[in-house]
Amino acid sequence: MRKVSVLKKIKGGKMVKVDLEFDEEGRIHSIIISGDFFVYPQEMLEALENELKGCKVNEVREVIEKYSTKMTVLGFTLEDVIELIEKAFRV
Amino acid sequence: MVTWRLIISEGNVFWNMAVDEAMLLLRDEDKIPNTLRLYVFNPSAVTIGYFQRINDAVNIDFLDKRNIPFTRRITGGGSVYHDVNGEVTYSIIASIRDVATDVLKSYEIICKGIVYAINKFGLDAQFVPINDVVVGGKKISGSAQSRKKRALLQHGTLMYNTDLMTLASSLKAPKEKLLSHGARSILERVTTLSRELGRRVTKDETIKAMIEGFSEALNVDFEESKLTDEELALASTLIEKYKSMKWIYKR
Repeated sequence: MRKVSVLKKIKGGKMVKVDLEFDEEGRIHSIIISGDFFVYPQEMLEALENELKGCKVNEVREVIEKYSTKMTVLGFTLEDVIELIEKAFRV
Repeated sequence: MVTWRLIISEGNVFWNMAVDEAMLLLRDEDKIPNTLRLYVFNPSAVTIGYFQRINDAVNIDFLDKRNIPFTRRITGGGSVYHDVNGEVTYSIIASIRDVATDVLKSYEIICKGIVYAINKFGLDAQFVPINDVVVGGKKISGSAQSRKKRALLQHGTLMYNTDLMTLASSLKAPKEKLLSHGARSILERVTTLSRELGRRVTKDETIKAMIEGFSEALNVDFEESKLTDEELALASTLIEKYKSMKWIYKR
């Protein structure tokens, strides 16, 4: 299992960190999106994390964009999360 | 003018978080009125945001060494050091439609209460979206909001005399923040009423200013009251969650 942590400081001062574990096939085994931001409704972030498990890099954008209408995020954007995960795949 | 309930209290970190959650749940069921609660954490404590990883947000070794209790909030946002002798926390528990449907707007309306409270001391203060209030560019108050279907809970701080060295040692500034701000970043970025005024501001003065500030911001009167038996009972059951390792180390 390969572990990667990627971090982004967002303009305005907030922080988003993504901790990932990849399996041998390069799929996401586990993912935690953390930081001092806000998500409404709050449980949607965990739902998104769960749905990202098992994804390959080319499937990440589609899954995350599906959530853009399901939740409001403040202090970061879903594009930040896509960028961080794609970066983690490249590490 | 409409009247809201006012509760002034003091308690440990687990109790305080349990009371706030109990009030949010009961307000959502229309079982309690719109409320402003002003409280102090006794003993001093640390809370972290719902989405933070505990190891990224606080210095656990330091907190353990100093016997400073800590827990996770149900609200998002960042980590906070609540100084028993230097910080008053507010909670607004209200129907969403009595504040604002738009989340950003509701942060602004409520944070204006803190701005007006600071103005009572003759200081200028600015609301900095999403959730900060600053004096002279330094953070003096932070807030965080959680929502149910019909009700919102917004709680936040006003530092009147917080020991900023203990604050800086308790909270972890993420590595990238350290790189861009320098190691003393927390001390350079936060302040207190006492520090700004050059005199020792008291808790009672701070509470009085907050009541007046929120009264202006929300255009309501306050009538002091006590928690209901239902609130106390629900908080007593919720407190176990806030003490549990499962909750604190959730992320």
